[in-house]
Amino acid sequence: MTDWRAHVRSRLPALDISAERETEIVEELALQLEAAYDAARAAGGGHEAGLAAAAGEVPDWDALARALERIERPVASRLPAAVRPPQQSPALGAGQGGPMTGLLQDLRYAVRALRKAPGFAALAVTTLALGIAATAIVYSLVDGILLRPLPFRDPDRLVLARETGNTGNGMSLSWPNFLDWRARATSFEAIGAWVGFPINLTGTDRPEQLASRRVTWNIFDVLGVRPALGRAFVETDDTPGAAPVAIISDRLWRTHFGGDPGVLGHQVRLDDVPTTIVGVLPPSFSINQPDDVFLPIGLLLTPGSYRLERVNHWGVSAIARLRPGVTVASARAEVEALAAQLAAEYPNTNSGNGAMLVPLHELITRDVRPMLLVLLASVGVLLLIGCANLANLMLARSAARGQEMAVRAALGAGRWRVIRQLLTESVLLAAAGGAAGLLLAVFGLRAVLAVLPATFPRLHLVTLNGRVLAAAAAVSLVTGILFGLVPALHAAGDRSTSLLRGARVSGAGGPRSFTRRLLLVGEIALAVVLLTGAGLMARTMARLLAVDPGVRTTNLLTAKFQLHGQRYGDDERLRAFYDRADPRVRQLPGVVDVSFAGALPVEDPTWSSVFVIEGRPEPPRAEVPSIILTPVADRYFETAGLPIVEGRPLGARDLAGSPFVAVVNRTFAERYFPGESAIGHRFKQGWTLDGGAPWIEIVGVSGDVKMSGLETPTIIQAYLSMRQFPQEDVAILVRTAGEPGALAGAMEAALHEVDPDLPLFAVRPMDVVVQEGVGSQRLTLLLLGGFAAMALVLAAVGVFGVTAYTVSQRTHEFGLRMALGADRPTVLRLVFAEGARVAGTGVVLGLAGAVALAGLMRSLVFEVAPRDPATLAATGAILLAVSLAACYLPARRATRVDPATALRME
Amino acid sequence: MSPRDPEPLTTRELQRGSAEFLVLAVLDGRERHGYEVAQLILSRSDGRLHFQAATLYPLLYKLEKRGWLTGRWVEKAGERRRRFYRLTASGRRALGERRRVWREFLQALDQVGNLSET
Repeated sequence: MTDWRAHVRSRLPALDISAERETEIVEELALQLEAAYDAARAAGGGHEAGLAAAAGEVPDWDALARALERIERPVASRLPAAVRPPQQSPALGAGQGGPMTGLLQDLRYAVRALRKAPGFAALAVTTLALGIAATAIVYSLVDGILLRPLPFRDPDRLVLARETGNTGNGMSLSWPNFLDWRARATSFEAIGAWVGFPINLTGTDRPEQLASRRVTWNIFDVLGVRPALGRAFVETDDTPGAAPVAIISDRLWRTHFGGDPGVLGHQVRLDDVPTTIVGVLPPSFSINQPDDVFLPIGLLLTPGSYRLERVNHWGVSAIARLRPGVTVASARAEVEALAAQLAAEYPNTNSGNGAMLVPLHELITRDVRPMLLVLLASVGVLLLIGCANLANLMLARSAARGQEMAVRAALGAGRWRVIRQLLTESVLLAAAGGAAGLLLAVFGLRAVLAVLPATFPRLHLVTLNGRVLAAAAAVSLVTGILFGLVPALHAAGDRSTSLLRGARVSGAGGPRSFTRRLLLVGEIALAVVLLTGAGLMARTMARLLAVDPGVRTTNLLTAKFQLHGQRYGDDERLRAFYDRADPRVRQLPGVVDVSFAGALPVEDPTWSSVFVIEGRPEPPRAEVPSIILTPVADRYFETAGLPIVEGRPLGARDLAGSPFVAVVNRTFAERYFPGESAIGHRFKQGWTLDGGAPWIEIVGVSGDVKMSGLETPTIIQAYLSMRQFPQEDVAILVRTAGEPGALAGAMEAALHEVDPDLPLFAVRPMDVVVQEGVGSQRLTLLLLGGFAAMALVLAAVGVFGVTAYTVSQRTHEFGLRMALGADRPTVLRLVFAEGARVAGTGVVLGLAGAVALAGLMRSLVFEVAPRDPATLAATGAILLAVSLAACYLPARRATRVDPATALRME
Repeated sequence: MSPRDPEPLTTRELQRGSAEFLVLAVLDGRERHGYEVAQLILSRSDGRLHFQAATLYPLLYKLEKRGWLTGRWVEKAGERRRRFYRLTASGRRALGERRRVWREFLQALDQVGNLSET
């Protein structure tokens, strides 16, 4: 007699389950085999026949063992999740294994499903990667520049206050006015001042220019920051003649002093003055750009200095901390009242001056906020377009998988399981897209930062940090759900459609098709909005670059330096420097001409002032006009390529002791001397009642130069002789025979022969100066243009996909029409009409949206109306053309339908 | 753009679905042990549908895991203990659902293929 349990045990491979359960299984199988054996014997067979019948019950023991293990160990189950019907409770993860089991199965299934559709998966991941890279880049800009709070105590209470001139534009505070504000204002818990002052670090291997601020001794108390090392300034540091002390940034401490705490008490030469380091700021400290050195402002305020005169505004801003409970508006009202008081008390210097007060954070980010918000909105729109496109792809895919889904549903897979399965797929795609996108963003952000001008605020805070990563991850997840949900709901809705309806689960007129067209209309509309924005920026850029800066920018090398410190202590030594430097640079091979100037074209002018013209009635102080004053050295006009339209240029004959002379720009001449020659007339800086400024005679008239950005209207300007008005802060201009950048090294070496301790900075060809002047517009154009291009491609893909799908659904109809005598043009028209209807609706909605959102662009455009009809028309035309082009292939396919084939399909 | 073919699982799913359906159906209203299930399917199908042990037991265990069946060991005097299976409430619901699906399916096959005439 056979021991059937031993029989089973000897054949069934050991199962990786509990011994108890295995025993039960063996017992049941043994019973069945025994029954089969007995039945065969009872039917008249012998022992052999019985054994054969038992053996027939289990043809493959290994396969049985695998099947049993799959069932008994559910995590290892290879069953597609979607065919596994709900457990006793349909809720997620009820039954054994917990929620993770279902999720793992869904994931595994999703991976497999996507692997079977590599084209779809690649397209989806690429779309998402681009969208998420764009989002991550823009968000890291927004995060670093706009969102990051200033690294100060209660930063919301910090305000910056300045004066305003008679045009209402902000200008710095004069020192006596600051002292009066400080004494009289009651809104502030504390008030200090700073002025930006680049400084030369010398006595090191390589002289270097550092970003630096002169500050009142209490500034760190006002900001609420303690030095990480050493001490803050004290009042006695901040007086003329005090021993020079400095507080340095964490960055400088690490790069120049190796992070050595022994740096305290160490002396460095700053603008040639031995200065003792007394403190190091914490690493987080930063205002709007990385400042490396802070010095007490009081050292500049020596008795008799022009800086102590109420009429001189030399860059001081007041920084104040509002008392608790004081609002920005009430503080603003107070400083405005103070300005009015001072104007009444000192009419000669203050009439016409007002005051402005803004939260510090707002001031720092004000110029870039609109641009960043537009970019953020654009990137959001782009993502939405991407989502719509992917939703359409998923819909098409789920239509093709309709039968599969219907079978799963009929076999008991719950609606929730089907939704969950499809959502898992889309979230998986989104996660892959997100990961790829972040990788792209690393490189993209580097490129973007390279394009941005260095003057852009807080750029040093822009990184792909944890917050950006978290935001990108969240965006990926939401994206996945967004583009997965519509198709998933549709697929789940098909559950009622039984598998019996077969191939035509979704006809061209079904709800899914309507959803697809709706998505497409939205996609096109959003693309129109983006493209309009990009178009406006492109026109802005074209207009800006078409602006003639007024000088010949090609083959012109520029650099800046500062003649600070003891060795340039008086005008004579400054003049001596120019006289020695000029011939050394001039004799370099490849140099055509050389000159110096107090400021470069396009960049902001450093010196502007009110002025009066001799013999003209003097307007009230509040109405005196303002002029840009630019001292230039010999041969400036020749070097810069700036034409003299009348009279003569400034030159070697205009010596320190000779009468003061100037060349004015054409705008000046035409405004003040219309119909007559400006030559021979005299003007002077300031106001007559101010006293002693000398009269300056106009000896020439030059062309106009854009001195303050290409977008600003030309301001009246006068060039003075640098021999008569020697400058410490100097730009050198070198006209070259060839590529100007190639001469940079030689020029620096030549200047170092004159002064080995002189740091050069901002060494750039003039072309680059102009380009940097439009850097933020360029970035906006670059990003918006990139987004718009992507939107356009997505829209085209969307139109193509939907049209191709519709055509395939209508094959029979087209065949029938052609069989009934319709010619190809008629069928083409049918397809194009369908495409045009969708695209037209999208374009109209998009144009309406672009018009509605035009206000956002107002501050970004230049000489282009935000609702520029030409741009809107071009945008609409482009979208329509692209949409129709995308219809072409499917339309051609429609005309190729063989009527006979189409009819057979029915 | 063109989506791939549906999962080729469909046929296997149908087979598996039909096997599940048969097992659920013979357990409807009565508790039975495994051999009995196989025998009943064999006899009711006039010997056409033979469930081997290798097919039957994995299926029973799976349906039990799924919560549609419960099994219990029963010892009767003079016999070895056997495991008896019966439908749970959700098993009965699943059976009802399957009956509906198969009815529709057969009807459709009939309409298309004129089954009744052949």
